[in-house]
Amino acid sequence: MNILVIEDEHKVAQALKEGLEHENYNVDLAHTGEDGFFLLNSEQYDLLVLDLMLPGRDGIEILKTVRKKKLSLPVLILTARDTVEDRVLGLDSGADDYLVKPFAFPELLARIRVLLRRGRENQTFQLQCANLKMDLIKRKVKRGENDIILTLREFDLLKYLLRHQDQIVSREMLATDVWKETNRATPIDNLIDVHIARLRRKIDDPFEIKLLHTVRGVGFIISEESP
Amino acid sequence: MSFLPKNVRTRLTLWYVLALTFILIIYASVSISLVYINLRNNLDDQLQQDYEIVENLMRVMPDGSVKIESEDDPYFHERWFQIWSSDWKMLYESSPFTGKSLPSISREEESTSGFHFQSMQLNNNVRVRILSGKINIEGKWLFIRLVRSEERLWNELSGFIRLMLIALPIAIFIAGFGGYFLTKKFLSPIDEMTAKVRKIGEENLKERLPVINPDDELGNLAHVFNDMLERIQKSFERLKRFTSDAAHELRTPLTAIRSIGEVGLQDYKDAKHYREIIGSMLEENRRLTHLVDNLLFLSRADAKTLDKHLIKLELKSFTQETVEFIQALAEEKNQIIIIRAEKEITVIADRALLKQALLNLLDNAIKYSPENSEIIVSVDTEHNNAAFIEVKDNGPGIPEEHHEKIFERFYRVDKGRSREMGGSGLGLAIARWAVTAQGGKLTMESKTGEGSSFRITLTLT
Repeated sequence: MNILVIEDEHKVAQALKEGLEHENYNVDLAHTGEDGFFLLNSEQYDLLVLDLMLPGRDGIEILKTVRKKKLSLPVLILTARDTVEDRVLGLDSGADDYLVKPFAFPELLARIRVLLRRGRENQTFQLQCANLKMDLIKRKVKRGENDIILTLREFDLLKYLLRHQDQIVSREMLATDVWKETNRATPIDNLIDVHIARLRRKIDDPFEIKLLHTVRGVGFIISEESP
Repeated sequence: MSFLPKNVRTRLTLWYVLALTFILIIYASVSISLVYINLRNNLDDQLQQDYEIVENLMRVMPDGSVKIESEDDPYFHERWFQIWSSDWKMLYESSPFTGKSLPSISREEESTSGFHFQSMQLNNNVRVRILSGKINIEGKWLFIRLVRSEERLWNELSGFIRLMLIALPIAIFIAGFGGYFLTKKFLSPIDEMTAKVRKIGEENLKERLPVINPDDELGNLAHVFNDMLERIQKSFERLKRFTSDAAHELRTPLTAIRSIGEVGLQDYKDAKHYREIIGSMLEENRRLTHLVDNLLFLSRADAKTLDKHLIKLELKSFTQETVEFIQALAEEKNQIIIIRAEKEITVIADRALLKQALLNLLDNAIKYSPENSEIIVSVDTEHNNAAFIEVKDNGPGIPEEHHEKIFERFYRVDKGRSREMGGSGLGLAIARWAVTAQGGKLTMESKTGEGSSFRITLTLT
């Protein structure tokens, strides 16, 4: 998978490149709109990560030209502005998704995965990690032979974690996707931590192998291996 | 209107000088006419007296000629009169005036039955007033004509006009001049105010305009200006404090990141250690992000660029949902949140904003109440026109001296403790804004040792 990242801030660009390469993507970097445009015309990419505030040609302009040329690659925009108008402008200009800076890297990875997989979402009714099994139809959770009773919220939380198995999930992702809280000024970090702790008490505490791990400063991961 | 002078004083003076001139011209014309009429009436009275005298002293001789008795009377030396017969012959003319000639009797004079007055200019530019009358003496019609010079009349009149022509401009000039100075006097507070306002900048916002007479319009203006200055000064000070507070708040996580990083680099440690360090830095970064998000929210709130979506909202179920949302936090501290809501109340509100406000209040209540305590959330109406949601905690309460400032940004009752609990100091400020943005009120009652209650009041529609 080839990804082009157009981002003028060198440190951020480098971090993105390294992080994405770690996930086995091929990454090209462009620091200006012109460079990025040149690369877009000469190479074949599967995804474009585009910063909106660029020197020279700005992101929206590039986005519009890309769409005018009928290039159909998915575009994820990064922006420091998160007013509704800015989002609408970005999406109207042909972006497929946006992330507001500062964003959590796991969230970027998750969004990229969704964009690259778009159209072939696999419908599963069973989620599993080691011997932890979740039946989405019967709404039942088992660890080995033991039934685990979860509240609605805990169930949703576990479902989300299992869907992103072996990937780090940030608090922002949980806030927007599980708690449906889009306002970043509403502090629900404590709430998330409490629910994670409860979930851990139910699915991990009685068992020897721990599945739900906290990655300090980043988020949570459900995985057989400790990160 | 570009030909008008720019400054108000000159313009004002010009306008009323113009008005005054107009009035004075009318006044002068009327008085001149009145004087003229009066003088002419006097002249006519004199002519009439003369006529009666002439009528009495006149004798018609048998031959048809006319004789005046006592011709030598000096009275007649100065009078000019003629007596004409009905067949247009002049029968008599007083002697001293024969050098001058009058035109013959006109048809008009002839046909008038009583007295006929007329003014006339003779060929030597002398204006005269002529009285003619008809009398019947012994069956014969005679015309008597009396003439008086209008010279005195015109002299007096022109004297009067001359007086007017001199006096009026002087009066107008004096009035204009006086007016100009009066206006200057009345408008001088404006000049003073202008000079003062010009000097007021951000450094001396404390200065106020002089109020010379608090009861008049200018005093009122100065007063209004001062009120505005007061408000500007206050918001300016608030802004300054806010900026320095914000910088201060940003410093704390920045210092932590820096120290953690610098200390981490002191030694060579294993990877696990560095992961810890980076994780710890990321946690601080998270605090920074939160702070910036909150600040952005508030600045958008200030700039009024946040969109509101007012909908019909049922408060009882809304409160239940919101409490449920945050319930887990209370459960961790073994606290019970009791909802007291008797009836369903529907208001018009922005769901997201109201939720944010209520969540902030509940979050505070949970944070500051001890373990195993109760938090009471009441939903009810008051005074038939308002609905409220009240959150009452069993915390330590808020001392009186903090009541005023509790809703200010970054204000904390107990600075150290609040930060430890992860408070940004913006929660209540955001809550209050979120409530007032939809036309509600957020108020607080608290006594030390008796807990605090925060009340969101919304008007019922």
